[in-house]
Amino acid sequence: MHWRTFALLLLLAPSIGAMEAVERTNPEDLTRLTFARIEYDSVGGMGEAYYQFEGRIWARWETDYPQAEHNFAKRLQQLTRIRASENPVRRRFDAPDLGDYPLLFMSDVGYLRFSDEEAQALGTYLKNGGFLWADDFWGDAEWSSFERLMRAALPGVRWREVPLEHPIFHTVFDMDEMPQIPAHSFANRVTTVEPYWMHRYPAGSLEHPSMRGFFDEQGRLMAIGTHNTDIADGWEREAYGQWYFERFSTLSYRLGVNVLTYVLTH
Amino acid sequence: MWFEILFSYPLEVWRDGELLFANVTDPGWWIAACMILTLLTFASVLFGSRTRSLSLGKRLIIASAQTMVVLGVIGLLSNPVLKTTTMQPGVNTVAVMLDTSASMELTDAAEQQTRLESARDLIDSQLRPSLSAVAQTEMFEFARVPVRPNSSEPTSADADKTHLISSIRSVIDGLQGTPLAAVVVISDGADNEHGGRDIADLRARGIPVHTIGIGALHLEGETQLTDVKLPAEAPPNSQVVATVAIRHSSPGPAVLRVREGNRLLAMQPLDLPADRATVRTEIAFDSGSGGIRELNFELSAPEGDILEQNNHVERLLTVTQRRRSVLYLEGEPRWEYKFLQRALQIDDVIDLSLWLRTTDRKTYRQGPETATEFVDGFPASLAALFAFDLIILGSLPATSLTDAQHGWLEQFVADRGGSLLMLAGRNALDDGGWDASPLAHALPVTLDRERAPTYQVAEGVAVPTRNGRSSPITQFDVGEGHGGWPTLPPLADVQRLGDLKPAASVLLEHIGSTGTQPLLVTQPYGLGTTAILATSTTWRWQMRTPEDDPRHAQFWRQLIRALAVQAPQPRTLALTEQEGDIVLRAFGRDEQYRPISGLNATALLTRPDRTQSQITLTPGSIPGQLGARVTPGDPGVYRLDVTMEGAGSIETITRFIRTGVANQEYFEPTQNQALLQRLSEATGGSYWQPAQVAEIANAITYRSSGIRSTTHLPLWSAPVFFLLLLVLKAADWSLRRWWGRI
Repeated sequence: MHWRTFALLLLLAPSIGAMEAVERTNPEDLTRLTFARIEYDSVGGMGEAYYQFEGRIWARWETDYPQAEHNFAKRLQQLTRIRASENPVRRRFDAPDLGDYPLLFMSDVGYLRFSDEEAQALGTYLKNGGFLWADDFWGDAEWSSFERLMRAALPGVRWREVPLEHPIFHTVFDMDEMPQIPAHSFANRVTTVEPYWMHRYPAGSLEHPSMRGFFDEQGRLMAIGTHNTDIADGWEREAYGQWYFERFSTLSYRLGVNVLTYVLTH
Repeated sequence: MWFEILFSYPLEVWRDGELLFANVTDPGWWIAACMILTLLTFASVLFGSRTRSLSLGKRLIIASAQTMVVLGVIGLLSNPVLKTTTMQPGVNTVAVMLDTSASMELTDAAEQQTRLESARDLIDSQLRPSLSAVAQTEMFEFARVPVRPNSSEPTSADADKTHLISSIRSVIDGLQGTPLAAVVVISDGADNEHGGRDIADLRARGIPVHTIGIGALHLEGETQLTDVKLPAEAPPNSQVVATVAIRHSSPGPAVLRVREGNRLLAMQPLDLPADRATVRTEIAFDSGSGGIRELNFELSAPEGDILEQNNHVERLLTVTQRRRSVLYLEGEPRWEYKFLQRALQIDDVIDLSLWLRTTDRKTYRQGPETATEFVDGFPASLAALFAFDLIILGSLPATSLTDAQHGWLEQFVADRGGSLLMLAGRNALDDGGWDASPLAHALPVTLDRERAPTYQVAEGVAVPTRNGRSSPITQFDVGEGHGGWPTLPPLADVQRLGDLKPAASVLLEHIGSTGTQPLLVTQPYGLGTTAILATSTTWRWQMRTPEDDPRHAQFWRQLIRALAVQAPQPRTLALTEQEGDIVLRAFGRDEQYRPISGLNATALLTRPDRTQSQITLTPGSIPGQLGARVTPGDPGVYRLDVTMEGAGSIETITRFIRTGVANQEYFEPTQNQALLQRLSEATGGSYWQPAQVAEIANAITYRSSGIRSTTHLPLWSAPVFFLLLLVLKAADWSLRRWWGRI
């Protein structure tokens, strides 16, 4: 382990311990949809693998966790007939019980670092029918980071943009746009694009939000990346003001409900 | 033999003859004289001085004995005769028919010769010499048809079929104009033609048929495949189950195999028990791709099996691409459906339609165009519902459906013959209030909402029961390394089921912290089938196993296919071979599965030599059913394209059938004594053991057809009468001496 990583883990230990108190790492009720957040390593140091926000230091994988999942699970039960667990779990790709969670969620994957074993475990998981949703990564460099993982997990599988006509945009709510959700701290009434300097260089254009999909040989969607958008922040920050809720959280939830319903039926 | 010594003539003569007294010209006077003599004898004993001191009872006994002696003497003096007809010697013909079919080539245990050799010896050494004394003999040999034997080259027993009755009929008809007294048949009774159906026809010809049974009545050590039952058709690449019956006389290990050509499709070790002579077992195999499949069922019998030729059976299986429709009604999006539909995606037979309640007011539909016929998520009409073969009910509250829809579901199973599968869930079974639905009657367990909640989050493993181990639904055909049921990941939930109904069959059990309880239960109901799978976490079998592990997908495909394929189609065609004929039965129903009155059907028969003919099916006694019977020619595979027209639609069904099984002669290799007895008794002849052959000539003399003359056979010299008089007189004398009157 890199010495900087070790030092930062020591620094983060108290806050991680606090999170353990509210989550169930080994839920017994697998009959409910349980969000599994992927815990991964990132490259670089502060500002890359880690960042400081609201008085604490966050690892990249932690972005929006667990409040986003917690809020989304509550909304799912209000809006739909999906029975979701309000207690998300976090797992690494090589966790032995990863298969108990047919839906994995990743956030802020722009500085992703992974081992061969993790990539192989992800490949097995996806081929078995599991689904991966990566969110909150902006620009070309961060996309490349995620795409490298997917290429290692599923060699030969190419991504393509999921068009708005795809059923994933229409399972419950008819959506006519791929929403661009900025993090709450960057949300304003002028633009929904986050500042390029907040993201990995070279970022390229951050203007166009998209859902990019990885499809298997039968044309089944195995993984999606919601690129140039931060859907989970719309869930996490729903209570951070009426304007943000109405302007962004509702779109986040609409897309989230559609994606989950699609994943549960395909 | 003793009868003939005592009574001077065979039993047949006594049975058929008429008793007369030759010296009695005036029966009235003769009866009067007998009565007077009887009275005088009685009076002399009752009132005579020598017996007067005896009690009345003793005097009556002595009087009776003496009176019977007197009457016996009078009877003999009256010259009793039997009036009968006998065959005129030398002018009649007796046809002797020798069975030369393949089964006559068998050598029974403890015999040195084959049945045919034994029969030839019997004919040459005993039968022909004895018959020659009373009639001319005509020799025939028969298997499929009778032929006159070629004396220079004896016929070998290689004919693969025996047409017993028609061969006898053919001989009788061929000898018309000849005074045919009787037919003597030497056979083991194997008959592959009509099973004795035409014996009445033979009886009408009035020629007695005497049968001589050749062959053992029981073969120690013999094992044979007696029957193999297959479904008429099967979808491609699905598990097909054949029910195999094995008859054996000695226990031991055996192996059953299914092959197509040289390719082994399935193998099953068996242990033939000592306490049962017939074993029925099921063997599952993959149906393969579409088309007609020629299957060979082979049995490796225990050591000591006498006949190998009856250890294999050929069957045809028609593999069709007929698609089956499945409707899945689900009340909440959950993982079980996702993985179920993925398992069925690679199935080229099943069309899966989903109606899923995503929110309280929204539904999500998935699947073929049938979804357009839905109203509020449910098929809009009974006909639309009946278009499906299988309904799956997920975690759906009973209140989601109207009363009429509940009734339709019950009718779907009971009347349409559809299958229904209920899965576990928080709104399924008891917990979903389904106990008030008419469907509750159809399910294999009792429901009671008072027991709710019955849905439990509890880990446990699925274990097949005894029924499950032989069911095609719960047998895994997986490669090495995956194991079977024991290595599957545990389930994460189970629904506690009510009491099993009498017809319920448990295929899987859930063993876990909550104890052991039924997991997969099925039962027939009406014309259809219902099933309950008391879990909704089989998806773990997919997600917690290696990516190439096929067990989850295989389980679901087998379960869904087995249930969907059971549901009858509106038009059905059954082909069977009965007594040598091909029997067609076509059945037509309308969209609501009511029998179609006015159904028309024609069949195009294609023979093995590719010649064709048209057959019109005629209505039977059952509404909606038509039938026809075709007598095939050469053995081989026959194709029938049956076109049914009615209720506004036309449909053609194609089926194949193989006639003339090559090794049919070797099945049931013991002597068919019952058939030979029935044949002889029905025609006025007799059944004989080989040791009784010498008596046949005598029997034919007195009981035969042909040219006959009336004869009066004297009875006065029959030893039995003298013995009777002697016994009566000895009894009279002994009693009188005992009672001190001599």
